[in-house]
Amino acid sequence: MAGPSLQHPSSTPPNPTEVAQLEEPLTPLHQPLLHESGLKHTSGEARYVDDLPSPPGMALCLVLTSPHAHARITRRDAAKARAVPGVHAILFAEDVPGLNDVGPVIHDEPLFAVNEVQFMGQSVGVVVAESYDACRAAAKLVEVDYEPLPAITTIDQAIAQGSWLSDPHVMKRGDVDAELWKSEVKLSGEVRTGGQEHFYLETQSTLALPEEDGSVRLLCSTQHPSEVQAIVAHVLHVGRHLITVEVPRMGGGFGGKETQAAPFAAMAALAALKLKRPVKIWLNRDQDMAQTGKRHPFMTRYEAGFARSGELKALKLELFSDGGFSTDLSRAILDRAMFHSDNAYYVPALMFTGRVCKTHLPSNTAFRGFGGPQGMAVIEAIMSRAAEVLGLDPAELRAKNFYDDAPRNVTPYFMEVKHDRMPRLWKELLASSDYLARKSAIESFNASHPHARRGLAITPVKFGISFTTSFLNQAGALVVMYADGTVQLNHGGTEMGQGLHTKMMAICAHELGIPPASVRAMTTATDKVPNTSATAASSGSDLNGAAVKVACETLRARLQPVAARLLGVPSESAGDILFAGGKVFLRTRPELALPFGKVTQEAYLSQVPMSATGFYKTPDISYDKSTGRGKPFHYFAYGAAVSEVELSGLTGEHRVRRVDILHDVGASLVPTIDRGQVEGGFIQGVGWLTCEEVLFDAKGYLLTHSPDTYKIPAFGDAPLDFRVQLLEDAAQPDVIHGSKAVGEPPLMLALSVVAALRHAVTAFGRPGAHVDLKMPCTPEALLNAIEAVRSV
Amino acid sequence: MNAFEWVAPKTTEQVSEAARAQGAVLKAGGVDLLDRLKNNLEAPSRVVSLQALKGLGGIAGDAKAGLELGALVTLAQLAGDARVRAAAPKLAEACWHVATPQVRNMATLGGNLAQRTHCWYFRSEHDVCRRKGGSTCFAQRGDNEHHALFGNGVCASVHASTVAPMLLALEAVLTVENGKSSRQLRLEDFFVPPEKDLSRENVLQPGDVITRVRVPPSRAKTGYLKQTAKESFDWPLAVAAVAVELDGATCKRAAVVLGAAAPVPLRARAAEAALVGKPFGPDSIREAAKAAVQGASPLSGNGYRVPVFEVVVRRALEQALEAKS
Repeated sequence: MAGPSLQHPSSTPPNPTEVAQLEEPLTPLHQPLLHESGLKHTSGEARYVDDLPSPPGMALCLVLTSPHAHARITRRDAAKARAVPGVHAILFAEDVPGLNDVGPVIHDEPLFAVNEVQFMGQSVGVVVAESYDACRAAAKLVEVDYEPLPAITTIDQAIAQGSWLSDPHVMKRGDVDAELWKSEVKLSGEVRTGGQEHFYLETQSTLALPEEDGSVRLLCSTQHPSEVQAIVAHVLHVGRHLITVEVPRMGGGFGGKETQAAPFAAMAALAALKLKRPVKIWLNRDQDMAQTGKRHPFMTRYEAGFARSGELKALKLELFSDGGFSTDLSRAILDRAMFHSDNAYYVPALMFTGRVCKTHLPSNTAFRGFGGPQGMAVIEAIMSRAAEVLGLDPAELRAKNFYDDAPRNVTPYFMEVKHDRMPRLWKELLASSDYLARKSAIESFNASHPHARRGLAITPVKFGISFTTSFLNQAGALVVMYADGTVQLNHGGTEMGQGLHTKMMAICAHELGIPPASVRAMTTATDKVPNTSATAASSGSDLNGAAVKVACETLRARLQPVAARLLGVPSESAGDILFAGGKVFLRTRPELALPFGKVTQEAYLSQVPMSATGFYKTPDISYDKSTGRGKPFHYFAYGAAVSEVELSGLTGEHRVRRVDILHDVGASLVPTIDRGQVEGGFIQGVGWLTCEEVLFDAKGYLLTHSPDTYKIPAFGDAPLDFRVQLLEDAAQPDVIHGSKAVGEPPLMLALSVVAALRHAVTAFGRPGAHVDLKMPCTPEALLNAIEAVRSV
Repeated sequence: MNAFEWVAPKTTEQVSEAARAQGAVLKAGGVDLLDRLKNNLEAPSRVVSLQALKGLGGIAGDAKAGLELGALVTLAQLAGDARVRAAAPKLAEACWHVATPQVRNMATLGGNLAQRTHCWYFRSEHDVCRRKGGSTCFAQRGDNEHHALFGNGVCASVHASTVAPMLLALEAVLTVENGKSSRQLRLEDFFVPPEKDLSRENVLQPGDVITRVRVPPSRAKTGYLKQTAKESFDWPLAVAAVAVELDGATCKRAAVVLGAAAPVPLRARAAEAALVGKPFGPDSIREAAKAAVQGASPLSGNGYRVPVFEVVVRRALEQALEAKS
């Protein structure tokens, strides 16, 4: 694979104190690093919750689930099941001492269904036994009688029946109807995007260990340990101080373990306290896929007005998402979809209305991008269609509509777009990908090939960074030094394979001037850093990194006077003492350096405190949903991708031939990690848009509940030629060491593949033919679209 | 999954005896059986492992004598074996196209032929379809994009084996043993269409064990294509396996077999008729490909695969045309 050098160029450091700490060759920051657990992941030595040795007396769980999408429960009887040898308990709603609810925002999600079940796979109870055999034997004997009720299983049914989980959210600017009426070209239609299974390699799991005084320690695979702690506490009706949640590591999360680890953790905790023995819950793949929520499917109706020149004049959108049976995070996800319905484009007059539908399906939840991809898919479909209808080059039409100087710099929610990297990034990528020359080569290929057509497209991504619920933008860290100069690093973020710990260790090692090997990232735990936010919204390294830096600065300030004494420097010069390369020295006398360990030893003997906390909150963000106005984001992450595809008109198969990505991660904290996120995010997006199809039947049964019917891309499906570049000289002000968030934005770069496929489809028909390409773009969808343009 | 008795007999006779008991199932590689157990499709009281049997592995023969394949040979072994690649290159290719390396390392030839359909309604414990004793074929009115285009009036499932079409084209013969008796069975007579008997997909009776698969020597030119939605590994949208014997430039005998098209691997007789007696070339190939999809009866969601089959058959025949022998 062709690729750039991993070395990131030195960036301009934002402030003078960082100048002091930025000794390029002596710091791991901005350097390529191995993932701190990469070798352990590869060898199998990394221990996930289910790999931990079973503590003596441990019991296992099997969730009793509803076989109906919607039904009344008329009777429950577990007497026979309780008599099965090896069964310790069968728990139902009446066994919950506190609140029988696990809804993260709204209390509309019972831990165990009481009178009614609302999706196939909903938990009705849990069997706890000494073996899975005993669990299954007992589960067969549990008698639950149901009276089936009519079920809503699609967005269209929900709209028709007025089944909602939210009030409408409205964003508005200008007189959209008047502007649409005046527009030279009007387009209208409907865009649908499907669900997506998270397919984290490690399924949901928790090990609950009862401790003294009615307390319990949970080893849990979750992106949000503090929320698991809070939910378990209210389910058990105890203070949060009695619940400790620890995350050893996750085998992937992708949003699926932000809220949806909590119900299973609560079942294990409940059983552990009842039985006073360790209890583990673990879902197998089929159970996990059937019982947990997915990416929200969306249906959006649009009316767009364009000038013949290609300029977007007005846009009216009605977004409907499928929330499933309960609210979960659906409202915030819908909000983010609306916040990204502009993508990188200025919309002069607009009205966006969004509403969450209630269906009798698993509760859909966070998934990388959090609604952003669903919003962007709509505007990108509109841009592609406008270019097709107007006969303009899609790249030019897109660029023409980018945000620009005032007044074209205000988003639909009235936030000013600052530090706009898109024009520069677009220009650089068009050049480096050789877009124009390849486009004309493709035209001649398409003119001569008997049955294959190629397509080429470039699409932008502008993604808002911050939790849109403003108070969540906070983080804490606890850095602990030992007398020998080694360090334990605790922070509020969780490691799910994305490389957060690697980045945090690099920041910590940089701030204390020690090698990363002297720093150990500890498992994330609520007894180390309290009240944390989820590791989500791409914000893990921005928020936690800043907190780690603050903690390290406190420690450095305490060590400086100690080092001054050892170096014989007057105490007023202590502020000039630097920490780098494992050494401590006066700025002007680097040759007289002390080993870091000697300074910490002396600090201990001098009774200096050796641990410090750090705290960070993002400044100046807020959003008022009632007016649809505010500044919900700290900044925007940018990227663009050029994708080239080849599509067979005979079989509907396609191949992604080449992808060029230029992505803005600011001054990358660890370029190897960021590159991995860009590649992985893109491929996951390609999966969502081309081969992953979540299908429920009319009864609400998940037809695609295992990898034999649900198809995620494999290595063999990666682009044949995959070129990923990080934008150079791009340090971002007011973000940790000039970096930018990277977790979610690259997923949406995959929309370039859909745009390229549309280009290829158009080449089968007459110019201007209406392309109706459904997502995901399976061979079925592609053949139908080709058939339609041919028959025009 | 339920608790069951596990037996691993050392002789075929003992296997047959153990397998004749009510509720007994055979396990070779276990790839399909484990899925069925985990999906609660079956709850056998006894699982009879074939893995302790001696002599059911092994590949023998060559292009001249034909191939003798043990039923427990794995698909990975078949895909990589030099004799198979020389004598029946398209058979090796068909085996290579099955699933992923992990699956091919476990899956056996016999198991591949005897596996059950992957129809998602059949595989769902909640749906009691016709094959499971119910009165409805849910696929006929439900989600049927992967379902049968031919012979779908009773049950719209497709047979899951993508190796069988190639073996059929090569006129493979099975050896089936039951206790002391042993019989030879043309693969063509092995599969049972739903209109004949809904309860089974093949003729195997309790105690029957496939022990060998013989691929007779052949001078036919062959072609094989498995079209999938996803490049890396996937279930098929369409499979075509062809074997064409020539007399000079004229087609003397042709076998055109479709996979993933019907409840059983399907010989496209009309396509074969369009080839036999004519010069084997682009014209007859085009006619044969057209004929292959004649009589298709697509359901609401799988019509898009009719033209795909036509293309796949044509390309498989073109492969045969290019083949040396």
